[in-house]
Amino acid sequence: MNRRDFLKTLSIPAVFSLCSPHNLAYGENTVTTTAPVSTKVVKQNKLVLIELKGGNDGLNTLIPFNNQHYYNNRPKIAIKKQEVLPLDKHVGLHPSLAKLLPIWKDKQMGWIQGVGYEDSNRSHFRAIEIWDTTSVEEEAEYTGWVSQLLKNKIKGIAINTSLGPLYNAELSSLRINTPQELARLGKDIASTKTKANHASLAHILKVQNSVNQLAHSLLKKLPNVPKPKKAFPKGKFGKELETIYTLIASGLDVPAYKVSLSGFDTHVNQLPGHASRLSQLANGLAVFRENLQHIGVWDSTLVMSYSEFGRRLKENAGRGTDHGSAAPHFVMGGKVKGGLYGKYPSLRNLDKRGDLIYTVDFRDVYATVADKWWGQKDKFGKSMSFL
Amino acid sequence: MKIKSLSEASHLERRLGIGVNHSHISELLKQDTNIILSYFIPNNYSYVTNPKIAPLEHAIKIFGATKNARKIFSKQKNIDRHFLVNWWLERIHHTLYPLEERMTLFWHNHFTSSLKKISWSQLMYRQNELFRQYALGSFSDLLHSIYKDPAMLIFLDGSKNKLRTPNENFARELLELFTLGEGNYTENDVVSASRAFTGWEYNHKAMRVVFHDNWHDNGTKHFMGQTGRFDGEGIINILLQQPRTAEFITEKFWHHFVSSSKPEKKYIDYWSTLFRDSNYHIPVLLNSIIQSEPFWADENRGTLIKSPIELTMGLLRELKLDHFNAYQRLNTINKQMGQHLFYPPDVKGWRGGKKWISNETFVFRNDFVTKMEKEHSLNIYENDFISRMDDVDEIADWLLAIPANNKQIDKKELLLSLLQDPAYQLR
Repeated sequence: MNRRDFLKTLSIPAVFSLCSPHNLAYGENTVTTTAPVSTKVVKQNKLVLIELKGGNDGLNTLIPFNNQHYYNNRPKIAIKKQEVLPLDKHVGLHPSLAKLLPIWKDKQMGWIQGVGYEDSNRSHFRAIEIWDTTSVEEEAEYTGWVSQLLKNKIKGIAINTSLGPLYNAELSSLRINTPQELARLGKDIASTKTKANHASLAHILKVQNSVNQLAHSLLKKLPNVPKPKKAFPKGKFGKELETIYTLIASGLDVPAYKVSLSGFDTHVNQLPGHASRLSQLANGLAVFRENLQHIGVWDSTLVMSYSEFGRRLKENAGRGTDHGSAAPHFVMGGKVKGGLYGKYPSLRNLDKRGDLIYTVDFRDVYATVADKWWGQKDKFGKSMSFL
Repeated sequence: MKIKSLSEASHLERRLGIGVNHSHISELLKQDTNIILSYFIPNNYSYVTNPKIAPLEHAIKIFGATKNARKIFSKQKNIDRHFLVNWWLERIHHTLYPLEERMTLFWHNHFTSSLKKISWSQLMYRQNELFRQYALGSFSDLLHSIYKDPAMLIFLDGSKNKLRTPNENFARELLELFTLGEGNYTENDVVSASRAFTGWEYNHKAMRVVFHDNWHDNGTKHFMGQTGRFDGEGIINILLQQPRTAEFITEKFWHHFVSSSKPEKKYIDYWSTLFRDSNYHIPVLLNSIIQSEPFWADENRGTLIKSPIELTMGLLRELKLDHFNAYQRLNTINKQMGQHLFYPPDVKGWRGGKKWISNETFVFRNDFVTKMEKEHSLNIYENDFISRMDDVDEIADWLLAIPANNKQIDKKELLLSLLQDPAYQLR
């Protein structure tokens, strides 16, 4: 039978339920759409998380270029003062982030300084779990903080990376590589109604069903997605941002996305690798913004970075830095109130390991997203004013 | 206990081997479990193969070579990486003792190093052979060897850990991931251990591991409640004394061989004590496990999810696709499923379990079994034992860890429908 007939035999309700009102997340800018297939993009507040894997060196990202302690502690790897792109008279950006400056100038980018938490963990794995879940206690089965806030049928999609904050035991968040590939390969996978009293088998059946659902809804929507106005940069990060653009533009009712960029664990010879990563980050996000603006969803999109920890103030002997504590992170979006938030940690008063002391608890950043972006008050911590 | 049924035999084979060899399980039938491990351990078995990679003496000529020559050596390095992976896939495919390869892969995933950082296939090959040497030997011997292994010295910056400029990378992962596990040591222990391991270097030009006295911190260290001028050996000896080390490894074995459930304390205590008392002899631990109740318990059957290697190589071995040799393609498939040999995703290794199955990988896994059955049906159905089987139960007992989930609609496509059954993804 041909594809159209094949699709007719499937259980179509899955596609309808993705768009029904009670599946929409809380939020101010929600629009109910009744038609499941639509070229009109669903304007619901969306979060795009950018995980900087390895522990991004905040000191060389948002640089305290007028602070002598910065240069004293980093004789070999401090960014030269004249190369820094100043945001005010105290801090500036690494030169590789130049493409983000227009967003700053448009007041749509916020930098939250000194983000961290008490007694921060320096193990990649434990630390990232803490950022993913807000839980400092190790738990057997965890729920990502984003998942905790959402009631959608599909809460989030991670592109080629771990689910992290999107993860939940009900598997209502998905990981995909590219939408086209999933749709193509997935159309042969049947949905199953069998129950399983067996954890591993149950997991497989759940995945089978969600693949089935997602593949079918993508098959329907993909042909209608407008091509990006500006071509995304070549390379993995650019391609993955393009995937997120495609999913948002297809009208899929999914409120959260995650993508990651690796290479931030700069123990050795930090300067060239870090510059290259920041470049990819800025170039990709600049194009991402332009394309989202073009289809009219920049105002309902919030991009946010995070990382398992910052790095030490003092450079090591390998022209690099070791695991540290607090670091700055950025948010950007059409509704972001641009500017600097929090306080830059003191470079003089350090903790007993010689690391920066945080000034903003990361849970307050999440609390702001929960409250101002998705309308849920008193979650995780205190709401801030960048939204 | 005696192995009473083909289904018990295939459970054992599925857990210890790679794929269930139909003639092997007939041999296992009626044997007693207290001698059965010997069927899986090589004895006078010589399976010597060498990856077709450039010898190290040739590869190091890259140092000091002209720009064009360096380009050629770089190309060779890339080719070597492909050959190395293909070599291991071929071994896993054809070995008569899959438990040895299973354990080699287990240690590769425990003492992780990645070709991504190392880039020299010759060194990863050498590390791989180290794992194979001790795969079914002593964990203590393996631990005493691994900190001086060239690939490990590079991967966790051992070569950069010096007296005046300590680098904590190896010491931290040694305690967190290789022996005790997080929460069982202090930050000071990490610092002390790093100091103790100073002095070791893998020297590329000399092609050997060197110990520099003047790089070594010979001062007094406080480690795990003991004080002394410990060197690397000293730290390892203290770690091996800790009951926690044996427990940590035993718990990993539980998750690899028994069940995805939380390990039962009384078994972990018992097995880890035997393990430690035998000077960490791995067959002792394996033997304890396969003699135990949890290993055979019904509720633990089929509770583990096959890793990509277990799925792909298992299928090749089970269906006796001996002539299949598209290892490059196999590597791509395993990569898509999330397991690129020699490239663990990070120092914690492949997480395994449910993490093998995501929307992405599920599709690839399903695609693989379908393609293989269709492309190789001639070879598959030529096998005597398969052509003789038309009893659903007989095939299911051999192939599946638990009863099939889907109802078989198509008797003609019986084998295919069992391969596509979700139960085939389990072991």
